[in-house]
Amino acid sequence: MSKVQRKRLFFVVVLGLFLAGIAACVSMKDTKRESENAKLPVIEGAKYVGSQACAYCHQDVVKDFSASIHGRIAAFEIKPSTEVRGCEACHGPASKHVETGNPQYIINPAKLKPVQASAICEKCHTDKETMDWRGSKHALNGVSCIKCHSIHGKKDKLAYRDKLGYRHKHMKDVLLVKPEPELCLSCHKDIMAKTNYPNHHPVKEGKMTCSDCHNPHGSQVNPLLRTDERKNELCLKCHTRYQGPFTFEHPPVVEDCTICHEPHGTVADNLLKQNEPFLCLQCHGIHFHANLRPDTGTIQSNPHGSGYTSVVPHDNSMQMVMMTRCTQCHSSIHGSDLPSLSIPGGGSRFTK
Amino acid sequence: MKESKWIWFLIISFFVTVGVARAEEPKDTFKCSVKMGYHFVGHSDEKTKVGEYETLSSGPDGGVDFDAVMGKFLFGGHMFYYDTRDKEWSGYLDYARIIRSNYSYNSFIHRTRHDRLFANKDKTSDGFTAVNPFAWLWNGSEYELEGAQKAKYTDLDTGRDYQIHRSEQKWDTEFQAPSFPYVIPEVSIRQEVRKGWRQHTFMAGKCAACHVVGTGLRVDERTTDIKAGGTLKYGIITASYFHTERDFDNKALANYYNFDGVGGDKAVYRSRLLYDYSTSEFGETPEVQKHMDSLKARVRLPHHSTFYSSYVYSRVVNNTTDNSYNMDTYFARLTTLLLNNKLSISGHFKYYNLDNEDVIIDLNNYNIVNIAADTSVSGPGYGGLPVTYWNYDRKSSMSRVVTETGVDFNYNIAPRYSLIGGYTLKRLERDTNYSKEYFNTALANDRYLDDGTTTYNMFKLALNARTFNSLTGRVSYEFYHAKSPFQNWHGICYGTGWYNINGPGGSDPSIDSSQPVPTPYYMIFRNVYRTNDASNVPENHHNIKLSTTWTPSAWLSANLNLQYTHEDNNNADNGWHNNTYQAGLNLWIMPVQKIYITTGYDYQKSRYETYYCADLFGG
Repeated sequence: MSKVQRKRLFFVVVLGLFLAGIAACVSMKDTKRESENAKLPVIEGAKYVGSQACAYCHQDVVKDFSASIHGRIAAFEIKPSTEVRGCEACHGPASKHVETGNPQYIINPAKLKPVQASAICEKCHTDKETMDWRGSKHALNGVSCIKCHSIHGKKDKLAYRDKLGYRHKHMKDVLLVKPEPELCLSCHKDIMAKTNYPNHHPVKEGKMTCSDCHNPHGSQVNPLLRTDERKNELCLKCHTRYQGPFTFEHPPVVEDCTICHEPHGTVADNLLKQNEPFLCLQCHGIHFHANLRPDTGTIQSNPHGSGYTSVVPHDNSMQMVMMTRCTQCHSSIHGSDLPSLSIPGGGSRFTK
Repeated sequence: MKESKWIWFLIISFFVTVGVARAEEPKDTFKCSVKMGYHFVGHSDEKTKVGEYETLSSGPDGGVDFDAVMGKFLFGGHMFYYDTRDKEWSGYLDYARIIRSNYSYNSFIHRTRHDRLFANKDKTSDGFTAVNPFAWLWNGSEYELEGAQKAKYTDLDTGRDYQIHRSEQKWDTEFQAPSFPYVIPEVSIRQEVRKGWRQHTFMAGKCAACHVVGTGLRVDERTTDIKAGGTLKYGIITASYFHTERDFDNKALANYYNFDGVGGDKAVYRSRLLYDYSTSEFGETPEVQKHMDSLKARVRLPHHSTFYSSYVYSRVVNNTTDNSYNMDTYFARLTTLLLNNKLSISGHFKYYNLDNEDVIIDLNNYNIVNIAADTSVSGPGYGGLPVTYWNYDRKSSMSRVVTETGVDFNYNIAPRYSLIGGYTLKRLERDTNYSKEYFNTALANDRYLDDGTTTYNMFKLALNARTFNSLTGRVSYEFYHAKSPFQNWHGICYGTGWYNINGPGGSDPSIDSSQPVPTPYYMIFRNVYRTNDASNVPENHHNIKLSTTWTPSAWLSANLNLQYTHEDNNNADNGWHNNTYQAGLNLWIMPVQKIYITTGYDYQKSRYETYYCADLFGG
C-alpha cells in the first residue's frame, strides 16, 4: 500500500470512527432536544392538530401545497425525530393558533431570524447540495432558505421569459420563488450587468443558469462554486477539451482559469478580461518586430533585391502583422501535446 | 426545416388531445398547458455578435407542459421548441416516492468567430509586405535575407459560418425503500455533445516566412458523466459516497497540414525548425478520462453546531498521451451559533494535493526535418547542433499542495443590522518552480516563479442593513494580500548579459560585425537572460461594494449599486495595477398587473496599466 493510499485509508477510518462515536454518544432524544441548528421558538401549551385544520382557513396555500413536493412526501421519508407531517412539521403545533386565530401562536418562518427559518428546513434537508449549508456564504450573510424557496410550491414551467427578459432553462422543480437567473440577479445586480456584456455565457438565452456553476447552498471553493476540488475542475466539466493534462503546459492555464477569463461577461471576445494582445503583454514581451518601422530608404536602395523589396512596406505593417491576436499563431494556448515549430523554444509555444 | 416544424406542431397537438381525454377520468388527474407563438428575428451585423447563442430565423415556437397522477404514479413533462436546433424537453416519474426519476434535454447553437485574417485590410495578394528588422543578413559569402518580407495570411475555409451545436441530456434516478429508508441509492448520467465546425488558426512558417493559416476543424465531442452512489441519513448523521466516471470522446479525425518550407534565401531558419516541407498534425484535441470518488459527512452536534467534512479523490488521464494527474482533497468545517442565535461562526480547513506527471521532452521524437543530418543548411543558425541539444524535463506547473484555513462570522448587532466578516489564510506550495530542466548543462533552466510558494491573507467585512422595511442596503470591503503571487519570472525585458548559443561572434558575440549592418540577430535569450518579472495577478486586492434597494410599493423597486476595485502588484517588475469602477441603476415598475418594465444602466470603467516589453529577440 502506498503512502498516499495509507493516508486516504487513515482519513476514511478516522472519519468513520468519528461518526460512529458521535452516533453512539448522542441518543435520539438528545438529538431532538439539543441539536437543532438554531434555538427555535416554542408555542407553550400548543398541540398538533393535523393539516386539515389549517386548510379550513388557508385554502389557497393548501391547494398549491398538496401538489408540491412537500405535500407529496411519504411517511417513510420523514426522519424518526420528526414528530409530524404536513403543515405542522414546519409551523409547529397549531392548536392554539386554530383556536384563537392569533398569528402569535404559530411559527411563521417569515417572521423568524434567517438562521432560525433555515434551521426548520435543516431538520430534513441535510443531504446532497445542502450538506454544507450552514457554513455557506449565503447562510453567513443572513440569507434564509425562504428568501429563495417557496415552501408551498408553485411553478410555471412554460413561462418563456422572466421579468428581466431572460429566457428560461428547464430545471427540476426546486420550489424557487422566482425562476433562475432572475432570482439570483435580484440581489447580484453587478453580475446581471455582466451577463449583458457583448461576450457572455448563454445565461440570458436560457441555456445556462447560475446554479449550473454555483451551488448557492454552500461550497468549499469560493465563490460558492459547484465543485469539491478546485476552480479549474468546474470549468473543465463543460470545457473538457482543455482538461489535458498536456505535454506542453501554459502555466497560468493550469494555475487558474480566471487569470485570463471573467466568466460572467466581458467586452472582449472569449470572456477574456482584456483584448489580445494587451492581455498577453501583461506577462510576456511582445515580439521584437512590432516595434519596427521600416527604413524605406534603405529598402528601396537595397542592391540585393530578390523580389519582395520592390514593394515598400506600409509604415505600420509590422504593427498590423504582430499586434493582432496572439492566438492567431499561438492557437493552442490552453496547452498542447504537439510541439510548436521552433527547436530552441523546446516545442512549447502552442502554435499547433 | 419546415418538416421539422410541422412535426413539432403535431406532437404538441397530440398532447393537447391526450390531455383532454385523460382529464375525463374521475380518479386520476391530468393537467396540461400549451403555449404557442411566433418569433420575428432580424439581424444586420456579425452573427457571432448579435446572435452568438440565439436563433437568427423567424418562425413559430411553442411548448407543452403536463402533469399526471395515475394511482401511485406521478409523472409529467414539458417540451419547448424554438427552432430545429434550439429546443428542450424533460420528464419526471415518481412512483409512491419510492422511485424518483428525472430526465431533461436541452440544445442550442453556439456561433463562433471566423477570423478573416485581414481579408478586409489593404494588403497585396495574400499578405502584408512588412519590414524585416535587419536589412541584410550576410552569411559570409552571400545575403540570406534582406529587406522587406511578406507575412502571408491564408484562409482555407473562406465563407464558412462556424458554429457548434451543443446538446446536453441528464437523467437521474433515486430509490428509497420504505422498509429501510435511511439509505438512498442514486444514479445519474449526463451527456453533453458538441458537433459542428470551429476555426483553427496556426503558424505554418517561421519569421520571414511568416504564414498564418486559418482552417475549419470538425468538432465532434462527447462528454459522458456517470455517477453512482448513495446517501445515508440517520438521526444526526448524513453521509454520502459517489463515484463518477467521466469519458471525453473526440470523434473528429486528426488534421494535417503540409507546413511551409523555408528554403531559398531564408534557409538560415531551417535549422531552427522541427518540421518544414513536411506534413504534420495540428489542432489536436486529446481524449480524456476522469475518475472521481467523493465521500462526505455531516453531523449535527449539540449546542447548535454542525460539522461537515469531505474527501475527494480524482484521477485524470489524457488518453492520447497517457499522461495523468491525481488529486486528493480534504475539507472540514465546523459551524456554531452563540449568544442566543446572534453570532454565527464558521471555521474551515482545506487541504489538497495535486500531483501531475513530469514529462521528458525528446525533440528528436518530433523532429521531421532531422536537423543533425541536414548538411545543406549553412550560415549562422544551429546547423551544427543536434536537435537533442534542446531536450529537457518538463516539470509540471500544475503540481502543488494547497492548504487553506479560515473563519467567518455573522453578528446581529441590532435587529435590522448585521456585521459579517471573515479571515482566510491560504498557502500554495507548488512542487517545483521550474518549467524546464534542460539536460544540456549549457542551457540554464527556465522557471515561471521566483518562489514556488504563494501565501494569501484574505479579509472581508460587510454591514447588512434594513433601515426601513422599504430600504435595504449592504456595504462591504474585501482585501487580500498575496505574498509572491503567480508571475512569469524573468519573462520580460532584456538585461545587459547578452548570451550567444552558437553564433560566429566568438568571445563577444553580442554584435556580429561580419554583417553589413552589425546585428545580434541570432542570439538566443531564454528566461534566465531576461531580467524582469511580469504578472497580471494582484499582490494587493481591495474591493468596496455598496448596494441598496428601495421598494416603496409593490409596483416599484429601484436599486443602486456601486463598486470600486483596486489591484496592484509591486512584487513583479511590470508595475501592473488595475482600477475598476462600476455603477448600476436598475428600475422595475409594474404599471398594471402582468406588465413589467425593467430598465437598467450600468457603467464600468476598467483601466489596467502595465509596462510592456518589446524584446529585441524573442527566441
